[in-house]
Formats: sequence, C-alpha cells, structure tokens
Amino acid sequence: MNVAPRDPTFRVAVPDRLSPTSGRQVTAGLAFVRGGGRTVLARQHVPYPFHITRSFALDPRLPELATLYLQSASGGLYRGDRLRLDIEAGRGAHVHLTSQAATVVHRTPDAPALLTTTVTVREHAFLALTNDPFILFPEASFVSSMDVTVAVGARVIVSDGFATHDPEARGCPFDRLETCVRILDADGRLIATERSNLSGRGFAGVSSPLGTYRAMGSILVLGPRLGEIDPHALTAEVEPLGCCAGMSELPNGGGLIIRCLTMTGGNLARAMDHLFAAAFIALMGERPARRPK
Amino acid sequence: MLTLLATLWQSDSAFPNGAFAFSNGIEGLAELGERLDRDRLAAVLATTLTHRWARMDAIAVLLAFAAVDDLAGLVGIDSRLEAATLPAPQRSGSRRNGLAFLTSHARIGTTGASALKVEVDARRLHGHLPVMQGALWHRCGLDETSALAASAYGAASTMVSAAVRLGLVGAVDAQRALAATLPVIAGLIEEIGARSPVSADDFASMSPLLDIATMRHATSEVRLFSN
Repeated sequence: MNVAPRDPTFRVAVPDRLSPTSGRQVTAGLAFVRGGGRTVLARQHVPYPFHITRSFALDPRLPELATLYLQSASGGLYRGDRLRLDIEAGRGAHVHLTSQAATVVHRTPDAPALLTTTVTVREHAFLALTNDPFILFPEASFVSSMDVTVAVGARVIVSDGFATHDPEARGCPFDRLETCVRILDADGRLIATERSNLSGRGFAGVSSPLGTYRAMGSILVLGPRLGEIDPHALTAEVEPLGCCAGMSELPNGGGLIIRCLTMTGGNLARAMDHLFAAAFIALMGERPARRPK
Repeated sequence: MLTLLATLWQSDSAFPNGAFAFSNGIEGLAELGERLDRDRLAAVLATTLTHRWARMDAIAVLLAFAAVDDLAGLVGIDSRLEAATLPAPQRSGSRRNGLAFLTSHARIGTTGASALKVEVDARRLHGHLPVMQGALWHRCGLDETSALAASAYGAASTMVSAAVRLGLVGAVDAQRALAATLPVIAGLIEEIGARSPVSADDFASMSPLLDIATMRHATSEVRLFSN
C-alpha cells in the first residue's frame, strides 16, 4: 500500500489532467468594503464570461446589506474552462451574492470544467454566496473547489447544489462531479473540509449515495449565531417541497451544515431558498427580503 | 499464519470493541422510511463502503498503520479526520467507538495502547476509530491489507448487526447481504492498493442520504443506537 510522505501543507484540489490549451482561463475578483453605513463594491475585475449586476438594497431593515447577482454571460460552463472567482468582504461589510438562474455545465469530453472560488470574510463582516444549482448535462465533468476564510466575528452562508438534465432523454448521465470545500480561520488553520467525487454511473446506479433522490445541496452556516435553528421544524418545513433535509454542527465549532436531497433541480432550488432564509435569520436576526429572479 | 489469526481475532464480534452501540446510519435510514430488505441492505453497504469507507476510513487506517511510532503523526491524521467528518453524529460515533476499542486494547495490554489512551484522555487526540485501528492493528501483527479487510468487514458487519437487531431484516437475509458485500470489499482493497500514495488530503466522502439519516437520527426522541 502507498502512503505519501507526510506534508504539513494542504494540497489544492486542482486536478493535473486538465489540458492547459483547451477552454477559457479567466480570473475575476470582487472586494467589498463598509463605508457610510453601507457596503460598497470597492474593487472589481469581472472579465467575460463573468457578469455582475449593480448593488441592490433589498432588505429595508438591513440597509448595510448589499445584494448583487453574479452570473455567467456565456450560457454556462464548457469543456476545459478554468474559471476563478476571488471574493472579499472587508471588515464590517455585509454582502449577499446570488445568481439569477441555474448554471448549466455542458458536455466536457476529456477536459473538465473547473471553477475555483476563494471567499475571504474579514472581522465582523457578513457574506452570503448562494448560487442556484449547477445542472450537469450528459458527459459533463465539473470540478468545483472553494476556500472560505472566516475571521473572528465574521458570519458566512455558502451554499451549493447539483442536479442533472438529459435534454435528449438518452439515459446518459454526467461524467464526473468533484467538489472540495475548505473552511479556514484567519490564520489559515483548518476548521472543516469536505472533498467528494461522484461518477455519473454511481449517481444513477442502484447504490447511488443519493438513494432515490436525484438532486443534492448543502448550506454552510459559519460564525456566531443570533438565534438557533430548530432542526425538527426546518426539516418539516421543507418536506412539502419534496426535500429530505438534515442539519448538524460542523467540527471545531465552525458552525452548521444543512444537507438536502430532492428529486428535481426545481425542487432543490425552492428548498435551498427556504433553507437559506432559515440560515439568514439565525445569523442576521431578520428574514431576508425576496430576491427577485 | 499469525497474521491471519490476529485478523480473525480482531474481526471477531466477541472482541469488546464497542461496535454494538452503533448502527452507523442504519437506524436513521429506517426512520426515513427506507425499506431495508436484503437487496436494499446490500446496496446501502456497497454505497457506504464505496463512497465513505474507501475514501475516508481506509485512508486513515493506512496512514495510522504507517505512523504507528510517530505520535505527532497520529495526532495530525486524527485531527484531519475530525475536520473532514462534517456530520456531528459520525464524528462522535467514530470517537466513542475508537475509545472503546482503545480501552479494550489497553486492558489486554496491546503495546502502545495505554500511551494512546493517555493522549485521548488528555484530549490531545480525538481517538477516531480508524486511526486507533491502524495504529493498534500494526502492533497486533496485522499487515496493511489485513487491517483494511478487518476495518471494512467491521464497518459492514456493524451495520448488518444493527439491521437485524432493529428487526429490519432476518438473520439469514442479513448474512446474504453481508456475503454479497465481500466482493465489493475485495475490489475496493485492490483499488486502494493500486492507487498513488495517499495522504490526509485525500480524505473524501459522498454519502448525502446517509449523512442526513445520521443527522436526523441524532435528534430522534426514541432510538436504540448511538448513531
């Protein structure tokens, strides 16, 4: 058996099989700061295919909270894409980044689409990053890697979700889904980490780790909470949406994780909206206003 | 021959390793309405072994096996396993089962067990079950392949035993499900042997239904098992 020489550093989850010549290689960056009782986008570098809307103040009782919609201007992720997004919420900034619709991951023969996200949340800032689910098309390979750095007193909500669509009904699943999430404190110490790897055949087989469900999502709720979430009430509230959910404390006092499973991407999106609202109330003490989509 | 006998000894359900208190998600799946007959139980075992054990527990067993004489190394592996196990009931179950396993070995007098228990009691080590297994099975004379086999078989037999005790499946059908799982275990151990070198960076898991089942089970009012 092979055991690697021990290395105290943590390897970044970038697969080495990607062709450097295929697909788009783009890095975007957003930096928010608090000023004059508001949160403003102080620095942005948003090249194609990223697109960001202007800032909206949607929550009257939280005037310091800026909400922006982040989207792909190109209709999704494609073969060989290597997209990177760096987001920073400065001390005391309050920001919610969401999307207007699901993101399609198209067929990616031999060259997975890679999305790397870094989220840095400074002292006493709040940042929510809640994209609609990724929709994996037949023969799509998608690698999603995210680092979340949380300073003392910072609050964070990060969600991800995955569903599938087979537009030609050929019974052909996606190829592979790989995800890696790391939660770190401001000194770079590891609080929690999750890496997963699922083939389309494993997803659709009789031993699928989703059971009979066909869409899955997770929400991380990090930092000090103003109120607690009742797990029984939460799971009961989303059951009418066809959602099987569970909630648990993360390791090292990092916060909460909420997992959910549904049959369809539509149900997943609705359930995730509901779960986001519960997480938002726990961290901010207010119900979030509706995010028009 | 001694390696085989040591493996049988450590895989024997009569060994007081504390596993009887854990269902590792079986009770939670039943509460979710899963009908765990023979075929479905076999599918759940295959899922658990493929998507969790082979990518998490097996790696921890191998790393701890190699780090048996390196306490700092064991602490590092153990803390990384803690950070990589997101559902709290799975973390606490692994720690409690690890402590029971370690305590038995300390009482038996297995070399190194008492020293490890001092570290766990002092909370310098979480004492996760696969880490304790890797370190102590090295001391007991198992080789790496035997340690992986004992770990996988123990994980499967614990779940099968829980299903029988919960009345979800009959004893004979449960053994059929377990027998159907043996080729899965063999295949996974072969795959692990063929992999490139593993490290704690490779800890991975993909078991959302089982995660939800254990999360919801933790707040159930009536339950027979710890997780």
